[in-house]
Formats: sequence, C-alpha cells, structure tokens
Amino acid sequence: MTETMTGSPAARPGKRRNFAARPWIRRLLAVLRPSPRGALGAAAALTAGILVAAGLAAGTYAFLNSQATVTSAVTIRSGNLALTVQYGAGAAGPTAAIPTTAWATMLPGDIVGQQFTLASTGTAGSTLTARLSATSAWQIRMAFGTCPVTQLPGAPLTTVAASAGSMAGTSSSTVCVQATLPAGAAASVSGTSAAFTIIIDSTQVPS
Amino acid sequence: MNKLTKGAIAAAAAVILLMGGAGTLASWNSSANAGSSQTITAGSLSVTAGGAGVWKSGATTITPSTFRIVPGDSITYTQTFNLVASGDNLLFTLAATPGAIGAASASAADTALAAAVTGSGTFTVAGSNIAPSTTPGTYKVTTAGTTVVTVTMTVSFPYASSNASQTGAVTFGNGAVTVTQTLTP
Repeated sequence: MTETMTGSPAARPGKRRNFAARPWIRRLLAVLRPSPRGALGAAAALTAGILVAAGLAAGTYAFLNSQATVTSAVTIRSGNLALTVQYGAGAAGPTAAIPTTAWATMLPGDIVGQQFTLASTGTAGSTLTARLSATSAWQIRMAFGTCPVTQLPGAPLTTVAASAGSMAGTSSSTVCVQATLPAGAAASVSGTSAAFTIIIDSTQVPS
Repeated sequence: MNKLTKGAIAAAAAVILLMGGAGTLASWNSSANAGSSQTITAGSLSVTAGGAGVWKSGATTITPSTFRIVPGDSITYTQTFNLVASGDNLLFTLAATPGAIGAASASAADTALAAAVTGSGTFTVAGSNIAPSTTPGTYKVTTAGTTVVTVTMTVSFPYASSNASQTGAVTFGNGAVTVTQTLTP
C-alpha cells in the first residue's frame, strides 16, 4: 500500500504521467477485463456455435452418402366380408324369415322346397358352412340353385356346421332350402310343428 | 524520440532488409522436384430415382386408391434407382427403408387395420459394377459406373386378422433408399 502511494504521480511529479492510472481509464479497463466465469461462458458459447455451424453444413460430413425417396406414399383401404339373405320381395339383410305356410300340412314322404337369395356384399371371397339351430322330425337340406322336385342329394343338416360351398366377393346366388318329412316319421309327429333356423357362416379365404 | 531510440530502429530495419534477400544467406541449400505433378480425383456415391414405381398384387398391377386389401394379401411397390459409385477403395452400405404406416383416422377400423398391416423394404442389384463385400449389406465397387437398384416396398395384411379391420384405411408413407460409405469391408 505504501509503495503504491509512493509510485503515484503525485509522489513523483517529475516523471511522465501514468495515463493508465487515471480513474476513468481504470474503470474502463475493469469493465473490459473479463471475469473467469465470463471467459468460460464465452468459450462455451463459441464452441457451441462452431458445432452448430458444422452440423448445418452438409458438406462437412466425413463420409460419402446419398439418399433418394421411394415415392410409395398412398392410402390403403381394406375390404370387407358380409352375407345377406333375402326371401321373395323382402328386404335383404342378415336374417330372413320364410313363412310357415310354405311348410304347412306336410305328410310323411312330402318334400317342400323354398328358395331365397344369398348374397356376398363384401369384397372378399369366402367359404360357407351351414348348420341348424336345432334338429326335428323334419330333414332340412340346403343347396345352391333352384329347388328340384326331388330330394336334394346329400345328408340333411345337423347342428354341426357342414361345408356348403363358396362364394366370390360381391356376388349373389339362389339357394334352395328343402324340408322333408320322412316316410317313416313317427305317428307322434302328426299334428305337430317345428321351427328351424339355418345358420350360414362365411369365412374369408386368401385371394 | 531520442537519438538512441532512432538508432535502434534504423539498425532493426537494416537487419530486416538483409534477411529479405535469400541469396545472401550464408548457409548452403538446394531443392529438387519429387515426382511429377498429378491430378487426384475423388470418387463419388449417389443414388437417384430412375422412374415412377408401380403397385402390384401378385403379378397384377393395381391402383391403390381403388384396391381393397383383405387378410392374406401382400401388395408391393417396385421402383428402380440409379446408383452411381466410383472409388477404388469405396465401400458402402445399401439400405431400403419402408414408408411409415399409420391409421388414416382415429376410427376403430383404421386403427385396427394399422395395427394389423406391416411394411418392409428390400432391394436387388443388377449388373456387376458393384459386388457384395464381406459384411452383409456392404458393397464394394468393381467398376465405376451406374448400377440399377430395384427397391420393393411390401405391405402385408396377415391372414386371420380380426373383423375390426374391415373397411379400414391406413396411410403408407414414402420409403427411402440410402447409400452410406463405410470403412468396414
């Protein structure tokens, strides 16, 4: 402290004046002199700036590379699978009822057929199975096409699903349902009735 | 400025002027050309589209906007690309990335279809300008030139997918074919 006072212009008036010692210059230098924390911050900012600049410039990659677009952008839509049944002039839908009058007053040995339209309204092709909700004294058979006057070939439907052909997507076919009261029907069947439901399932097949 | 200072400046200037003349160095020196001048040319690696692609279901060309995909279907998009590669020691990887699959909307059908379908990308290389290297997927240049790369994007809809995916819609994005230089043979 003492030496500093001794070296001041006031203590040695014969020497050249030390301009740096002027108060306003010292204040200016103090403002300009960076603190250690400020110097670190400036260095970090400078480094980050260099990294960002290098990242933005594609030409600075150290290896060759190239990429091209495969112009495959589209919207892909799935199809569907649906069956409808339609009896006579009725509406097509998931169910259709055949009037009981069509099967009334049947005697042993009688064969009565009714036709309906089976349509595949979906885009997918399918295989079909058919089964009955319950069995009765009547034998129920089903086949594509119009009903013949004779009995349809094959075994009658049961409650176990059996193959019933196939259908292409967006197509329709006439189907015959035939009820047979066997000639050997028991006398106890006389005067009775039985409701039956045919359940037709479709399963999509790979195209 | 006092005389001593002026004298020092003048002496320094004289030394600098003397150093400017190489011939005045006191040490012996000589130089000779090593080899002849050569032009060195860098290699290149680029891939560009060769034309528009085509969508197919099996061997049949389809229009995606009217096609209805069902379980068991696989539809493909095939597009050719021109790969230009040169460089005596150039090794590079070649990859085909399929487009992203997303539901066209938040509906249950679209979401179910998006969850069911998958996309994949493959490629085939024609010609003999490039050949497979040791590492699978890595190629080396045998002859500088253009190689036709056929990229196939496949969208598969597995059989036995749920009914919930019926009448759904998904978007299939653009794919990419990428070549990247590598040092691994």
